[in-house]
Amino acid sequence: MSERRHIIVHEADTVATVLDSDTQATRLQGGAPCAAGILFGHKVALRDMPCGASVVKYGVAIGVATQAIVQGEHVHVHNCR
Amino acid sequence: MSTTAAEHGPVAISGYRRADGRLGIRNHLLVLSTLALTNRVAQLAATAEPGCLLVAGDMQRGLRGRDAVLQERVVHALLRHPNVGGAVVFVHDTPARARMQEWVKGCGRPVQVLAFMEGRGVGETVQRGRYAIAEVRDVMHAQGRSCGHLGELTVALECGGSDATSAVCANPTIGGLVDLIVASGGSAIVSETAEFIGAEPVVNARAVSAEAGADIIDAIRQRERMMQEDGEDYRGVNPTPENIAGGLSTLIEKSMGAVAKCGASPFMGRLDFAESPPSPGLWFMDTPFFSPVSITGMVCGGAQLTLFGIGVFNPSAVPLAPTIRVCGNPATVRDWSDAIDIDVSMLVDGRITLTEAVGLLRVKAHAVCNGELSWAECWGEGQIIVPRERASI
Repeated sequence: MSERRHIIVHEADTVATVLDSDTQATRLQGGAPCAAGILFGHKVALRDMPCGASVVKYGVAIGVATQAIVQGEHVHVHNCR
Repeated sequence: MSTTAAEHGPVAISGYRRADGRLGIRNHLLVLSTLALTNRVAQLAATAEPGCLLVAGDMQRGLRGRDAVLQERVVHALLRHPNVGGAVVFVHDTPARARMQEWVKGCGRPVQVLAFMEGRGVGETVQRGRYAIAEVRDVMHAQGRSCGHLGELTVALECGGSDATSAVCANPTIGGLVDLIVASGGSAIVSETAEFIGAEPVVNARAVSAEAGADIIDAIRQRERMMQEDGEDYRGVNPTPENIAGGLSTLIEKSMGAVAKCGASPFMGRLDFAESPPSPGLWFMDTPFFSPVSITGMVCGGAQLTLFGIGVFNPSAVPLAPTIRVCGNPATVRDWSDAIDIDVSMLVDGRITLTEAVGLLRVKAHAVCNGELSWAECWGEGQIIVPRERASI
């Protein structure tokens, strides 16, 4: 079972950036869950986030969850702004 | 970033101690043309003598107000840059020579000034330039190296050819080294004001004082107003559909890709173009976004070294200060292997961690500070470009 390459820029981040095109895989390297279909350069949730929670990347709030996000879910304009 | 000065201890640099106490990491013999009319004689003299660094740009007359101030500030900043050990300056006429000779008295290094209009032919003028270069070189050869450390550096921070990898690989790697330099007592300058549109909350949160934050945000607003005057609604159209397709969800996420190269140090305040930081730490310089212009501003502000994060290739540099190009895009690293100084594309396939990438950059920066040539120096890349705001007379 392949695992997705990704980078977590800052230790406080709640999302990782996926850095490969293996969109069929459902695990990140290290074993954390990752939804299938997330494209290169897109974000995956590293933990559950309730609606209204800050989405943290680079150690700063880059947006707010507009709905509840579960660990492993794709984080993008549909659930973060 | 967990890398700290305490973990690594002081990093020694064998450099050149200047009269004002600053440390140079190069000992350039600068041949400077202060007017486009003297560019060719300066070039002929500089290329006939070994070991010169020629700067012959588009220096003009008839500049007004701030444009004239900036051009003079850049000329003076080049002559007292810590990486310059001595200089030969070509000016146009006798009054300009008298003024420049008076100014260079306080420069703390050997500088000879030649007036073009005092020449008797092109050949004779070039020959006088060569004699001057030889004399300055003799004085410079008597200067020895002296010991310094990483905390004596001011680094210019730049990114260009940005892509999905630069935001999460090259720029955070640079940010990690910046944290280390600032923690050691050094300085860093970041510029390209327009790139900060959207990052205002981060600037405010990290500013050392409310006044410093307001000063920087005021500069960002001014650039945004310029865009609006040109009918461009940057905030409204960003992130662009291409950005969103690439995975960027918000404007602040996009701008943080560039801001990541600053590390996590507080912003001390705002500098004008080519202005030197008045105290150590991370400084914001208000500049245009074109890399050769913004690097000119930061190097003239006293940066001895440029750290340049790239995605696709970008050859920008300023010749006085070595440029370390950091790249995390595997295709760029493969295709431009003769121009990229640090490959951090191993971050993309998870073979190294960010902390390890910072360590690689730190080792490279140490080597370059001790004399190893950066690729931009090997190829003789780079230029000095002074921004202009008004029509000249």
